[in-house]
Amino acid sequence: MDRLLPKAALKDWLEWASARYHLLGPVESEDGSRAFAPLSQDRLPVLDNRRSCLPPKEAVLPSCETLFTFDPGDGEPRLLPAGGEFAPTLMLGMKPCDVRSLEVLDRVFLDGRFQDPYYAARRGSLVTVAYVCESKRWSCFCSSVGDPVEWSLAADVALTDVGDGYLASANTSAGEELLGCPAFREPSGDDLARRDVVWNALREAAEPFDPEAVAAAVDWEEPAWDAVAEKCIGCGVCSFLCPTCTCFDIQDETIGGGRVERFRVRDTCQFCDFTKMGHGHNPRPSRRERVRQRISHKFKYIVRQCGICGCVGCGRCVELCPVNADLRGVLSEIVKENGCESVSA
Amino acid sequence: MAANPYQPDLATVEEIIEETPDTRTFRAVFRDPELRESFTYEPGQFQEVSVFGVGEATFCLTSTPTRPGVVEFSVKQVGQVTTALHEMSPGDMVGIRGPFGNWFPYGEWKGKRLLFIGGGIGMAPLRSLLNFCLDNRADYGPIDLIYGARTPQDLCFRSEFDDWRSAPDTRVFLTVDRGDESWQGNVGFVPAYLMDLAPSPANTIAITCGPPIMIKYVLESLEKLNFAPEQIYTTLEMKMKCGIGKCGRCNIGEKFVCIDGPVFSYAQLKELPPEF
Amino acid sequence: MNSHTEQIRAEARRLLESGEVSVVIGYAPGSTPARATPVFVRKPEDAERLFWSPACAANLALYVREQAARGKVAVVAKGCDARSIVTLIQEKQLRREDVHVIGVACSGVVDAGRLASAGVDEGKLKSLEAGGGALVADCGDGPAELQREAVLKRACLFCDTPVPPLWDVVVGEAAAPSPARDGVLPEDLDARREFWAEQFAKCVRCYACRQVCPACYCSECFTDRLPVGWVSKRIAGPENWMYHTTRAFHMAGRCVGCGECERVCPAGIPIQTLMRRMAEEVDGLFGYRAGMDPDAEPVLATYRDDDDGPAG
Repeated sequence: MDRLLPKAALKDWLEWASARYHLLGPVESEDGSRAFAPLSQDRLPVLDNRRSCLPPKEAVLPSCETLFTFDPGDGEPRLLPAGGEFAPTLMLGMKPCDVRSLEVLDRVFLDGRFQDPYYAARRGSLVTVAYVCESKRWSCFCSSVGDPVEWSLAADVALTDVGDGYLASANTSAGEELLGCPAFREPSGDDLARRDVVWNALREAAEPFDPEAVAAAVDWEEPAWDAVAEKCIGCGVCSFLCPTCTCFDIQDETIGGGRVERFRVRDTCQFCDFTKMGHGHNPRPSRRERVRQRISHKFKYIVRQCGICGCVGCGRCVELCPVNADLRGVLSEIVKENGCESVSA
Repeated sequence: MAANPYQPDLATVEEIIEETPDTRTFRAVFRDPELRESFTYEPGQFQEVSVFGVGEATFCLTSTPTRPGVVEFSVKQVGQVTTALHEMSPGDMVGIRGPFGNWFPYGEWKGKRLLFIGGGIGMAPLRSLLNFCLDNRADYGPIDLIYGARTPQDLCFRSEFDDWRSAPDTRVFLTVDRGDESWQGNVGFVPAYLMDLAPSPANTIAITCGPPIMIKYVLESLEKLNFAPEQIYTTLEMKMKCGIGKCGRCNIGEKFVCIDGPVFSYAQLKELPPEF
Repeated sequence: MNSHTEQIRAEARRLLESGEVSVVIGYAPGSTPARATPVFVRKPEDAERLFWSPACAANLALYVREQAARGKVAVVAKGCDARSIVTLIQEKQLRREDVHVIGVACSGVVDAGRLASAGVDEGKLKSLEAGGGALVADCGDGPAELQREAVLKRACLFCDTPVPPLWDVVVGEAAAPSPARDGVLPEDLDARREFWAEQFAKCVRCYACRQVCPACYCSECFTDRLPVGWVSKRIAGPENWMYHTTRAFHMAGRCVGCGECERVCPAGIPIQTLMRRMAEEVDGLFGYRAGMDPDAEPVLATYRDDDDGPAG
C-alpha cells in the first residue's frame, strides 16, 4: 500500500501516531550529531542521510540492563524479575541499514534453541518506519553488502522523500494501520516515479564486493590480520557503535540489604580479557586474534550460524575508527589476496 | 528449567566433598521440590552455577541423570566464583541454570567398547558418562578407564574406584606423574600409559578430557593406535557468560561451545580453527 | 607533494637503508584527504607510503613503547606527540637512544569528525593543505580557506608547543603559538558538576580515550581489576564518572594535551577539557608541565621540601 504524506503534514501524522505509540526518531543534538530520542510536537525528527551516533540496537538491546534481582528475603530467598512493561513504540526515521540490523539481531536473539526474553519483549513492542536515504555518505557501503531498498521494505513502513512529500509504503498490517491517518493521500504517478529514482540511486553499489565473495575469501591466515592489528588500538568503538554487534557481559552487583542485582552490559571481543579464563588461559591473547575474530564473525561465522551477513554497511566503523583502519579497504585486500571477485576501491 | 533462560533456580548445597587440595565436588539439591524430582539432563551437559553477588561460572554436570534428585559438579579453585564456592559450607545456597549444551551421543554407542581417558579434574564430565553407562551396563561392551593425575592426592573420585572396578567387564587403569611411598600403581603420563596399554580401536569409542596438553598428546596417541577421528570424543571448556549462544563469547570459529558443544568428536575438532 | 612529505620520506629512507632503525612509524593517507592512518614502514622502498598533511591527527607515540621493545624505532612526531615520548622516557618506559624522533613543526591538525558541523562535506573533499598558517580545502569548487577554530582538533587551539621539545631531525617551521582559552567549563561549581553529569551520561565505555592515550600503558587498567572492584562494569552515570575522574587523576602531571581522547570519543565528550583542568591544577601547584624535559622527574612521583600544599 502506497500513500503520500505532504511534508507539512508530518507533524499531524506524528500527533495522530502519538495516541497509539511512544515515538522515537532522529533528532539533532547540540553538537550536530543525530540521536534517536522521544519525539513531540516541539521535537520533530530530522530526516536526512546523517546516521545516528548510537545505532538503533539501543532500543532493543540496551547497553546496560537488569536481568533480575536476588532478594535473600527473611529466610525465603527469591529472584525478582526485572519487570518492565514495554509500551508500543514507533521508531521513525530508521535508515535501511538500521532496519536490516534489526533483522540480524532478531536471528541472534530470537532464533535458535533459546529465545532471549528481554530482547523479545522490547522487539515485540516495536514498530518501525524506515527513511530511505536520498544519498549515501562517503563511508556508506550498504549497497555493497545487500539491497538497501529491499531492507527498508522489511520495516512496517518505508518513507522516501519525493520532493514535496514522503512516499510511504506499508509492508505489514501494522504499517497499513499507520497509513490510515487522514494526513495521507493517494500518490501521483510522478510521486512514484520520483521514488524509483531515489531507490535506483541508492541501490548503486559504491564498492561492488559481494558479501558471499567476502565470506568465501576470509581465511584463518590473512596478512590483513597483522596489518590491522599493528595499528588497531583495541578499543570498543567499532563494536559498540556497530548496529549488529551485540556481545555482552553479565555481572553481579550487591545493592544493599543483602540484595544482588545481576545485569548485562555491552562488551566486545576487542577487549583483551574477553575470552580470558579463570585460570589465565586466553585463546585470543593478542590483537591479531581479536581482529581476526571480529571480521571473521561479521562476514563468515554469522553467515553460517544465522544465514545472514552480519554487516549492514552503515559506515559507522569507517568514520569512527580512531586510526582509520577502514574495514572496506581490509575486505578489499582480503578478497584480492584470495583471488576472488576483484574489488574496486 | 525456568522460562527465562537467564534466570537460575535456587539450590541448596547438601554436601561438599574434598577431592584434592584444590578441587571439591558439590552435591546440590533444588529448593523447589517439583524441580528436584523432575530435573533431568544428559551426560556431557553443563550448568551455570551462581554465587549471588560474585557471579556465575560454568561447570559440567558430574552426576548421572540415572540417579536423580541431586546434581553434582566439581570445582577447581582458580578464580573469583570458584574461590567463593570453596568458601561455602553445606546448607549454603547457589543458583543453577541449565542444563545447557550438547551431550555425549551415547545412543550411537550401544554395543561398543568404551575407552575413557581422563586427567585430573577432566575426569568430572567423564564420570557422568561413566556412571550413566554403568547404570545401563547391558547397553555397552567392555568399559576401560585410564585415569591419571599429577600425584595420588590429585586423583578425584577415589571413593568410586572400587565401584568401577567391581562392575562387570569394567577395568580401571590409574597412573600418576609422581608417585609416593604408598603408591602401587603405574607411574607415568596418561598419553604414555595409553601407548603402553595399546588398546585396540576395533568397535571402540574413546572419550577423553583433561588438561589441554594432555588432550593434545592423547589425541596424537590415539591416532597412532589407529583410532579414526570419528571414534574419539572430548569436551571443551571456554570462557562463558550466557551459556545459551547469545553473548558471543565462547565461539571457536562458527561453533559456540555452549550450543554446538561442549562435546565434540575429534573429526569435528579438526574442522574448527585452532583457537581454544 | 609538499616538502614536509619529501623530507619525512627522505629521512625514513636514510634510516632504513642504514639499518639504524627497524621501523619508521608514520602516517599514510587515509580514507579521505581529512584522514590519515598510522603506517609501519620497514623497508626503504616503502618510505613512499609516508606523508604529511593537516590530516595527521593521531599521536603515534602510542606505538613507540611496544615497537621499541624489538629494536630502535623512528617516529614522526608533532609537538604534542614528542611530549608524549618525553613522558615515556621520564617514566622509564622508553630509553632515549631507542627512539629517533622525526619532529614536525605543526600548526594544528584536523578533527575529521568536526567537518560536517563546519559545513564541509568530507565526501566531496579533494584536497586538504596547510600553507602560511591557513587551512585550505577543495571540495570540488576550488580551494577555500577553512576556519581553524571550526575544524581543527580542539586541543590544537590551546597548543603552545608547535615545535617538538625533543627531536633528532625537525621538519618545517610553525607559527608562534597563540593558545586560546578553553571556555567550555562553566565557572560555577554546581553548574560545572551538572555539565559533567550530562557529558558522562553520554559515555558508552568504549575506552577509546584510554586506548588511544600514549600515557595509558598499564598492563591491567584499574577498570579491569574486577575482583578489587574499583569501578563496576555497569554503563551508567555514576560508574562513568568514576572511570573518567579516576583516569583524569591518573593523568595529572602526565597528560600532554594532544587531545586524541576527545577526537576519538564517539559520544562527543570534551575529555580534553577535563585533562586540561588537571594539567592547569598541577602547573599551578608545582609549576610543572608534562613532557617538556626528558631529564625532569615525573611531578607526582617526586617530593620536594619546598612543595607548597594544604599541609604547609
